Amino acid sequence: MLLLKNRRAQYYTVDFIIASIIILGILSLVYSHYYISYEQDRSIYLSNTGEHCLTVLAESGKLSELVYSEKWDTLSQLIDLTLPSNVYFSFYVYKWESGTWTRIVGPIGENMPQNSMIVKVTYILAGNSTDSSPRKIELYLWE
Amino acid sequence: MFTKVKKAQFYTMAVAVIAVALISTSIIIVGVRNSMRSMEVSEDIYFVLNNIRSETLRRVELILSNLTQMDKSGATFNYLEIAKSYLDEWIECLKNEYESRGYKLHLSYDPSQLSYLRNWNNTISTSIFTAIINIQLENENAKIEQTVNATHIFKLSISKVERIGSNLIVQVNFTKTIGTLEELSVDYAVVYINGTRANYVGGGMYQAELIFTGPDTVTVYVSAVSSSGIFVEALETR
Repeated sequence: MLLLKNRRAQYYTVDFIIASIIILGILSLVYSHYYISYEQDRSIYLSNTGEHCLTVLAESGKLSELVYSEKWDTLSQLIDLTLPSNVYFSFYVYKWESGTWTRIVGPIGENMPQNSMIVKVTYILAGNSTDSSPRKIELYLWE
Repeated sequence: MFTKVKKAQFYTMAVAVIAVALISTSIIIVGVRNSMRSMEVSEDIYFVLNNIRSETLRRVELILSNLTQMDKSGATFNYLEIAKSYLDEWIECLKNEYESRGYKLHLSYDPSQLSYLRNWNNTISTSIFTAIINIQLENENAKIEQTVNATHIFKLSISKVERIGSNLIVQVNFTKTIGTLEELSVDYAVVYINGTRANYVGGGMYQAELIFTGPDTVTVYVSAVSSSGIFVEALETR
């Protein structure tokens, strides 16, 4: 009788262990699915925000004007004004010369965090009256 | 009895240890994932296309600006060679950038369709550069093809010179046409009339009030300056 009770206890324990593993497995699957879709949403949000910012500045002519006159502080202030307050940024500017991109300035803005999702949005400028070589601005965004 | 209690304790402990191990592992995995920096380049293909399209139009505007300035300075030049070098550099730069990011970009133009025309007829001054550019952009999700009529026309005309007492009211019209889309030069051009900056009064019209120095005739010289250079100038003697 005692041996039978002992066996039953062992059975319940094994049953409990298997149930725990299944529950934890399902929970971690649900969590990782939620986590991935949350990351994708944030990535799309940051990307749209960056695209909107660069489009607005480019269409107003300010992006070209400030990049070619190398007024980095003013450009940084304008980007800051265009972005929502919860979005941080940093940018690099490159010049097209001899068939390759050469960095002329950067990083400008906030220090990039080590443990965050960062989205990069790029805009290429066609040149202006003083300098016909194209420029590229790489805008890095995070929350 | 004592053996029974020990066994039960052992099983309980085993369950607790396994549960703690599983929970700790998940916490560690999530923690490591959160502490890693992930970098994403997630631009929308339509944003890229819009960038290429609008800056290609600016590139063509730059060509027109340079051709006009060279023409006005009296230099001898081959407009086709200049236009091709500007467009080829631009295409090379775009292809380098976007193909390195996994896009397939095909950007082309027909050199026989490039043309530069100008008509400087004192009071009306026009500069025209025509280019038809094909853009084909493709990534793993979408493929877009577009033909851009990058024809730029800049037209400056003196529409009114009127003497009122000792003042001379001068009105100038400046319009910029790209392809089939007409954009009036609101906040775009800076117009000078005899060195005085004219005020924008709407509808592409600029106006300046000058002092009439006499005795009988006055020469009105107008220049329109845009962000990519001086495009057109006009002259009228009254």
